[in-house]
Amino acid sequence: MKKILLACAAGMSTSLLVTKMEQAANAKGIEVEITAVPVDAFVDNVKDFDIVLLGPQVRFKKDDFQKIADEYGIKVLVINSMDYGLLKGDKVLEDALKEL
Amino acid sequence: MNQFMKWIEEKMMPVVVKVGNQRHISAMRDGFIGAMPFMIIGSLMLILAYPPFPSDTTNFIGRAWVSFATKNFSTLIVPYNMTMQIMTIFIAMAIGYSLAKTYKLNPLSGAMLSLAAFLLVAAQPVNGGLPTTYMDGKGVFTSLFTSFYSIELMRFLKKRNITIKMPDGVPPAIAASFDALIPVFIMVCTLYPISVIFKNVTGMSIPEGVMELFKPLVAGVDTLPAILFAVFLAHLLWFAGIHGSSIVGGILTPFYLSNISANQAALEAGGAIPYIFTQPFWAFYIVLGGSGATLALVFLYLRSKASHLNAIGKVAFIPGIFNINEPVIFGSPVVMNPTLGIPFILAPMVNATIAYFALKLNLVSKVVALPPWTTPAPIGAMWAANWNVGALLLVVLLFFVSGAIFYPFFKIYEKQLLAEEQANKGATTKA
Repeated sequence: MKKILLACAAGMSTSLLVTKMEQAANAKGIEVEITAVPVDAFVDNVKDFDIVLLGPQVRFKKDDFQKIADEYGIKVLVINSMDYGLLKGDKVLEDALKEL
Repeated sequence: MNQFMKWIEEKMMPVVVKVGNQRHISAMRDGFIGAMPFMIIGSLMLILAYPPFPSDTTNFIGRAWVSFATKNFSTLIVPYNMTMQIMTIFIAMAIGYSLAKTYKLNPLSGAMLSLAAFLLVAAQPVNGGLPTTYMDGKGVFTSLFTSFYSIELMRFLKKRNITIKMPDGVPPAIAASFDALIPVFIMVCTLYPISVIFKNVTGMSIPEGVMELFKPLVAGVDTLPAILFAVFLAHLLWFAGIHGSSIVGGILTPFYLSNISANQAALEAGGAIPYIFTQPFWAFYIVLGGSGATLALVFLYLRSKASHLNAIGKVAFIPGIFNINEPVIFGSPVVMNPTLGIPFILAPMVNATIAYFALKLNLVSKVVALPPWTTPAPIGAMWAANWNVGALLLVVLLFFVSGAIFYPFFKIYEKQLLAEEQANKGATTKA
């Protein structure tokens, strides 16, 4: 099963998106585990996931995080800000799965 | 607008990347977050000892509570004493832990070393007891120095591979057990003499000296221009799509904590409460409903004829009650949208000004407790002000003021969207 990690400043708004992504995955019958964490929990969690999605508001963390994720061969992507704002779970999920 | 975007990406982003990723600032912020539950629960316990009634209340429950609290004050205040009032113990450990982790050092060793360093300079025993004088917000700035110093020392020793050389034949595990002693030994042998000399030369302990040093800065941060500057900067960053409050707030947190701690000390001493600018002041007054004070805007969205805004209003309403508003910021969007950007920056600045004077003139009680920032603003503001009703009224006033600021800009934007929706509809019917 694929595992997706979402991170934003406090892990609050990404958790809104996680709910929507899980709904989209259920509707399509895709088996996937999605978790939202605050950015300070990124280092502890990254190795257990297949891909990391950052909230656009913490995109300044991308380069630093990618360096850490490179050790495990994991990609760090920034979520499209419009999809993020409209909580388009299906679109974000689809884009993430494409990258796996 | 393109010029502005270019300026943001080329000039502002590199600074944001630096500050947002700077390891000491990050460790400081993560450390404060780690210590937060103790402060929140401790400040919740404050209400036991300080009932939210005036001492001459005629309310039956109020009178019973006040007299109970007065009789049992020393018992009721202990949960607060052992959490919020010694916050710097938790902060020192948490910062040491976080910073050690970024250097891939053993975080537990880092946390302990950092705690020991803080206690060594800031809590030298008096009559056989550890004085808690500087374990509250007064010690916060000192703990930053001692934590950073401890971890940098650990890192330096590891990098230079400074270890105790054992003769051949000593098992490696035994040699390693001595290695763990070196950072502690050097920390004690450097910090303690500095502390003793400092005391002899200046007549002040290190935390006392640090507080003196930071006094002008602490006073400066608690002024309206400084608050407005911080609000402006945070919202300009949000306008560029960057989490402004976490960047600006990260730097403000030591001030927030030292202020709230001084306010609590004044409450305990029965004096006038000194400081205005604290984290709850930011969360519940300046940005009620999330950055930009968008809660009122969400209500406007809910009644909007533009289907896009209406849809955002529906997803943003419940998170907005809990001060989370990324759907508004990225969905509307506010980011890089001057029509909504102007009130987005203006409304929190106006809120800050009104709230500043309301607290300054003692129309509303100042902040003495620290609720989680996700508490709905009316409750959070009251809780923070020891259940002062004025705090609730201020939130209601600010809600309407920010609504009035957003309203004309919302109307302009709605009109644009309606025209677009109309055009799209026309296009589809024709096709």
